[in-house]
Amino acid sequence: MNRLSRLDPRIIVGAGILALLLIGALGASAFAPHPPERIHDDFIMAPPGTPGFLLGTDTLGRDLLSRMLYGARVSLLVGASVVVIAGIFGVTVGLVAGAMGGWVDHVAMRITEIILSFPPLLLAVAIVGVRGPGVPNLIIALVVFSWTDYARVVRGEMLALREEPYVEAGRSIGMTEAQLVLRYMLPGVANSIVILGTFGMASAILAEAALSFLGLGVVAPAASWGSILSDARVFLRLAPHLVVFPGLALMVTVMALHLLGDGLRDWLDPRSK
Amino acid sequence: MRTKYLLIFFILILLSLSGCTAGESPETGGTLVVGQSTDVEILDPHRHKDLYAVRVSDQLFDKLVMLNHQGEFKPSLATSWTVHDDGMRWRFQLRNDVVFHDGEPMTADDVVFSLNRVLDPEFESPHKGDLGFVREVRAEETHQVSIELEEPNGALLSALLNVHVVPEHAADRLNEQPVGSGPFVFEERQADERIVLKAFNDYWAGAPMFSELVFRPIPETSTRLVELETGRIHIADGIPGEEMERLTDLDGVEVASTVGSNYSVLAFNNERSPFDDPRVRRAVGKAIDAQRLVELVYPGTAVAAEGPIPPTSWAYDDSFEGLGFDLGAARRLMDEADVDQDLSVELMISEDERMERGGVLLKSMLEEIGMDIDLTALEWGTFMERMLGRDYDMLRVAWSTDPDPDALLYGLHHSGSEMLNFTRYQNPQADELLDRGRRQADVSARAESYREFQEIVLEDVPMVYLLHENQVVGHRKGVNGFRPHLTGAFYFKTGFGVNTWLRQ
Repeated sequence: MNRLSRLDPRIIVGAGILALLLIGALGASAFAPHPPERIHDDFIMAPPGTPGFLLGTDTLGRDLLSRMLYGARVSLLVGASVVVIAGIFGVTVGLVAGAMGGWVDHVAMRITEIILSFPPLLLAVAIVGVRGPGVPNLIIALVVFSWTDYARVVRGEMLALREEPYVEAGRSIGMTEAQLVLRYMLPGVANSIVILGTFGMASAILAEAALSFLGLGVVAPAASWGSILSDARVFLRLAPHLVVFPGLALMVTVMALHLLGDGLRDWLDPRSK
Repeated sequence: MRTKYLLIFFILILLSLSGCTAGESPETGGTLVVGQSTDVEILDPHRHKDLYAVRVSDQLFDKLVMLNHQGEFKPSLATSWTVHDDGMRWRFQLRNDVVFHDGEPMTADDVVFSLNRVLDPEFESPHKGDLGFVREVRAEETHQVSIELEEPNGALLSALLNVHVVPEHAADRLNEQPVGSGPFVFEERQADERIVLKAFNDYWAGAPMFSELVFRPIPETSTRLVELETGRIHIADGIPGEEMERLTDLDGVEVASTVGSNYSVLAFNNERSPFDDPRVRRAVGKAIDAQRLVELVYPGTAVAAEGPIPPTSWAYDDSFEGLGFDLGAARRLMDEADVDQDLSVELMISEDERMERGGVLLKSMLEEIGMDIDLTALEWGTFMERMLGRDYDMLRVAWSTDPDPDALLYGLHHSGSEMLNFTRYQNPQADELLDRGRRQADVSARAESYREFQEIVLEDVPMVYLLHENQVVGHRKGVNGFRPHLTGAFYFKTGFGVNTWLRQ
C-alpha cells in the first residue's frame, strides 16, 4: 500500500497513454468514424478538420483517423507478440544457460553473439524479403533478433543469483536445480524481464513502422502507421497531416513505453529505496 | 541644366528599352541541368532501350529520321527517302555536311555499320526485334543507303527511330567514351551522380544555344521537386498529378504535359482459371470504372482508354468505344460464367506509389462482382520475372513504345511474339490483322487494319485497357523553347526547329 502510494508519475503517464491506445485499438471498429478502407472520391487528401474527417483523409480519400485506429492494432499486436514470443524464448534460453553453465551456456551465448553481429533491421529485412511481406512474417523477423536481449540479461543475472546465500541454502536442503531456478531465481530476474519487455515493445513498434515504411510490413489495403507514412511521403508538402499524425502517434507510443520502463526500473529496484 | 537632365532621361529610357528587347531575344551560354528519376548506366545507344538512357543518347547521337512534336516523321540524317519494288526496298539520301564529335565526316558506311551492329545476332541489341524484317543494308553512294526488306513493312520508319547512328571508327568505346554526331559532346559520367555534356559547335543543324547539359539522377520524387523549385535543376521528370496545381502556381516553374504513346493495362493470364473464360475477363473489364481510376490516382496526368491506341496516334479512331463501365452487365456475366463463390485471385503490381494506390482502388471495384483480390507488390525485377514467366493471375503494367501502332500492339498481342505476349492471347484473326498492318505501307490502309484489330480485342478482352499516361515534366521558366516530346524524350536542338535557350 505504501509502495503504491509512492508510484512514480512516469508509470502513471506511460501506462495511461498505453491504456488509451489499447482501448482505441481494441475498439477501433466502434470508434472509427468510417470503415478504414472506404474510398471517398470527393475527399482526396482533405485536410484535418474537414467535416466528417477529424484528421483529414489520405491519397484515396480514406479517413485518416479510422486508418490510424486500425493501424494501432497492428502496432500493438506486433509489439506485444514480439515481446511475448521473444521474451518466453529468450528467458528460457537464459535460465537454462545460466543454470546449467558449461557447454550449454557456451553454445547458447555464441548463438546470441552471432545474431547480435548482424545489424538488426537488415536481418529483419532479409527475413521478410525471403518469406514475403505480411504481419506474421514481420513478427517472426523481429523475434529472431530480439530474443537475444532477454537471454543475455537473464543468464547474466542467473550467474550472480547462483551465489546468493538463499539459493545456497535451498541447495543445501536438497532442492533440485529445477526447483531452485523456478522458485528462487526466476522471481529474482522478473524485474529485469518486465523492464526489458517495455523497451523491447517500443523498439518492436518502431521496427514494424520502419519495415512497413519499406513496404515489407502490412499488405495493402490494410494500414499500419508505418505504411500510412510511406504511402504519403511523396505528398509530404501537399498533405503534411498524413505524415504528421502517424509520426506523432509513433512518437507518443514509444515515449509512453520508455516512461513506463524507466519508471518501473526505479520502482522495482530494491536499491532505490 | 535642363537639357542635361533631359538627356539623362532619354538615355534611361533607351537603356530600359534595350533591356526589354534583350529579355525577349534568345541568350546563349549557360548550363542546363535535367533531373530524372533513374540513373543512366549504359551509354552505348544500341545496348539500351529505356527512356532515361534514350534521353541522353538523343543528345549524343542522331538518327536517320525523327518524329516532331506532332508525331510526324521529319528528316534528320536522312534528307529524303523513297520506296521501291513494291515496298521491298527503301532508299535514304543522307546529309553530306555531318561530322562526328572527333571531326570525322559521317558517311553511308557509318549508317550501314550502325544498322548491321543492331541486327547482329551476337551483339544482342534490344532493338534487334524491331528490325527483324530487314534483309540487307547497303551503301549505294557515299551519302545514300538502301535497306532491303524480307517483306513490305510500314513500320520501318518507326523502327529507325530507335537506331542511333554511330561512327564505325570509334565504335569499340561507345559505352565509356561515346562519340556521335549529335548536338552535344560527351564530357564525363559519374555513376549515380551526373552525366556532363558540352555543346557541339559543328552540329549540322547549328550549335545548341546553351553550352553545357547535365543529367542528374534524383530517384526520390519529393527531392526532385524541391530541387526544381529551388532552381538547382531546370527540368524534372515524373511530376505527380497532385503536385501540378501547386507547381503551376509557383513563380519560376512551369509544368508541361503531353499524352504519351503508351497504354496501361490490367492483364489476365488467359491460360489460367478463371481467366481462361472470356466471360470472366469481360466481367472484370465492365466492372472497372477507368474514368474513376484516372480521377483518383492520375488526376491531370492520364486519360481513360477506350482501346490500346492512344489519342495522339494517327491510327486512333475517336468513334471506337471500349468495354464501358457497367456493373449490372458485369454481375450478369459473372453469374453466367458460374465461377467459384469465394473466388480469390492475385493482382500483381510493381512497387510504385501510384500502382499500389491504383491496385487498392481496383481491388475495391472488383469486390463489387464478388472477386476477392490479394494485392502483391513486387520489386521491379521480380515483377518482370513473374510476368514474363507467366506466373500470375492478373497484373497491372504500363506499356510504352514508339507511337507506331505496330510497336504498340504487336509484341503484347501476336501469338508469335514468344516473350512479350505474356497473357498468352491467341487469336488467328488478330494475328492476321497485326501482320497486315505491319506489311502495308499506306497509312490509311494500316489505320483500317488496326481499327479492325481493336474490334477483335474488344470481343476477346485479353487485357483491360485502362488509361494512357501523360508525359508530365516540370521546368524553370528560364528554359525557353522546350516541351516534352510525345515519346518522353527531351530535345533541345533538332533539325525540325527545336532550339532551347536559357535565360540566365
